[in-house]
Amino acid sequence: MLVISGKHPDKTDQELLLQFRESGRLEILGELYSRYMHLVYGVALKYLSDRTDAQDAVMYLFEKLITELPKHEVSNFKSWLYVMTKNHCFMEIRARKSTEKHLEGLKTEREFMESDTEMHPIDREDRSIEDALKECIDKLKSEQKACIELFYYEKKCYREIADQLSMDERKVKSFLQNGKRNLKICLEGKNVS
Amino acid sequence: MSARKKHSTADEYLQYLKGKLSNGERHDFERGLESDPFEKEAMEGLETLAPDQASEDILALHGQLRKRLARRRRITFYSVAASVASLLIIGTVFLQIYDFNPDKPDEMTKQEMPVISNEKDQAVSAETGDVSPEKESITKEKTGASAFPEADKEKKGERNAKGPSTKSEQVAQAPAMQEAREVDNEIVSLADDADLEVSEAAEIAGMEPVEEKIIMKEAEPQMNQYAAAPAQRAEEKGAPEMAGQKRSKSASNVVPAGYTEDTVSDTVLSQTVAEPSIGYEAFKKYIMDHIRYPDTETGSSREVVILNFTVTAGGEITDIKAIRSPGEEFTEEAIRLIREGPSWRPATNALGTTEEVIRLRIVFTR
Repeated sequence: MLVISGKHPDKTDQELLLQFRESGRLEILGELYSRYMHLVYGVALKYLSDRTDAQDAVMYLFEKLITELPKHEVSNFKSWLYVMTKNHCFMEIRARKSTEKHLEGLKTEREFMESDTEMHPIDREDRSIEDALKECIDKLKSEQKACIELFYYEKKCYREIADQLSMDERKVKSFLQNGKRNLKICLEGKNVS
Repeated sequence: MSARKKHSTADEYLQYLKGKLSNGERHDFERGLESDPFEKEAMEGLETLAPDQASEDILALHGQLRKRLARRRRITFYSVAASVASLLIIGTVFLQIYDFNPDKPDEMTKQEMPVISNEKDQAVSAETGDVSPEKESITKEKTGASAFPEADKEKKGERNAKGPSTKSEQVAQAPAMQEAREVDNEIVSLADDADLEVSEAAEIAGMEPVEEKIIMKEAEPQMNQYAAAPAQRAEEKGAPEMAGQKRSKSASNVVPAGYTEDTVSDTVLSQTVAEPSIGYEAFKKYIMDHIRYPDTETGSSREVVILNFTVTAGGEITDIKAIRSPGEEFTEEAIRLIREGPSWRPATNALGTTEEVIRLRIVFTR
């Protein structure tokens, strides 16, 4: 089992950030960064599809944090880090493209159509728009509807849903994703999102 | 679900990947993924690895980070040690200067005396140079020498202003001086201490005019511009004021060199990618609002068109090409969306705007 915890596990990101800003002590920033290093690594892996490159990206981004953090007001460290990570990956991919010229494959595409920074209504804790949401779910195509209902209402995990609907787990995820996107469009049509 | 945490730890990811969670726990974890794109994308990346590889890599990264943090501490220690050392050396130099001035008169002519003793006073030494020109070669040296105290003064001023960094510069000069030492033994005896100011060394070298030139040439590449520039000037017989001006220019050239690293990283950071002028979020909304599923018999509920196009340095969109498309109608619609859509901000690098090829994925659903 992997247990990684800093010296101040109870401190919030914001507290650590403030402490770093005041003291400039790198170990504080290191502790903050280590909370998210696996996420940075995961995202880098997704875009760069190479373990070594992704590890380099993780260390590079730490250096970049040291110089960039003091220059910016950062109210949400995690989402700021997410943006930094993605930007770095895109830059990296661009640099590769110019050397390799040709790079096909979905992994290198800018899948902005599929990613969302704002939390989807269905993921929010308060479901004040429950009725509208239900209406919209009913309008979804059958697989999307089934996946959404099983996941969000019956609290099944991807694997169980895949078993139940006898489809691949990846399919489940994409039905969920597309279902959610259609839901959002539907909710926006009702002006409740 | 209400107990969902703000972020999942690396351990939770690994437990999940290794299949050690119950279905209920898996669901809770997945809810976390669904609600946060950072977590979700991270999982998409991590699940491409075998769970053992993932945990190995994450551990290795934590190790690298720890090493990185330790390195910074060591550097701080070294720089403290370096400044203590340079303070000691400077102290020694002052002692040595006092030691060796009394020995000088035997070896020197009377005209040359003031140059050494008044080394901090530019006016006097310049005067000495002008008033008592014996041989051309000597005048040459003196003109050179008279310029040096200025460098000296400048350096001292800078030292006051910058403190430790100037000291380290002096330390950096040490190897260059050693180089000079190797070139000529006679110089060694006089310019013995590595931390003598370059100007002082040059003055002393001035007593051996012929050798001096050789030494300067040999040492030039190693020396910083303080030393190199006066050496040339001595050869050119430049006027002291001119020399001063030139030097202050070269001195200011020296400063940025120390900051190269910062400059480089700034350059990297000033790069931006081409973007819709309204931002990707709004652009995405524009696409969603305006996309029309073509009136075709073919096509499933979800079709993807991938477009490549160039955003020129002027922000124009050219060369729109479909890389992947289920059919002509889809391609046309996708191209229409880009053509009629919001303008694009060109990519920038350190030199200004630049063209960039953008690849977009447009998803049609019905």
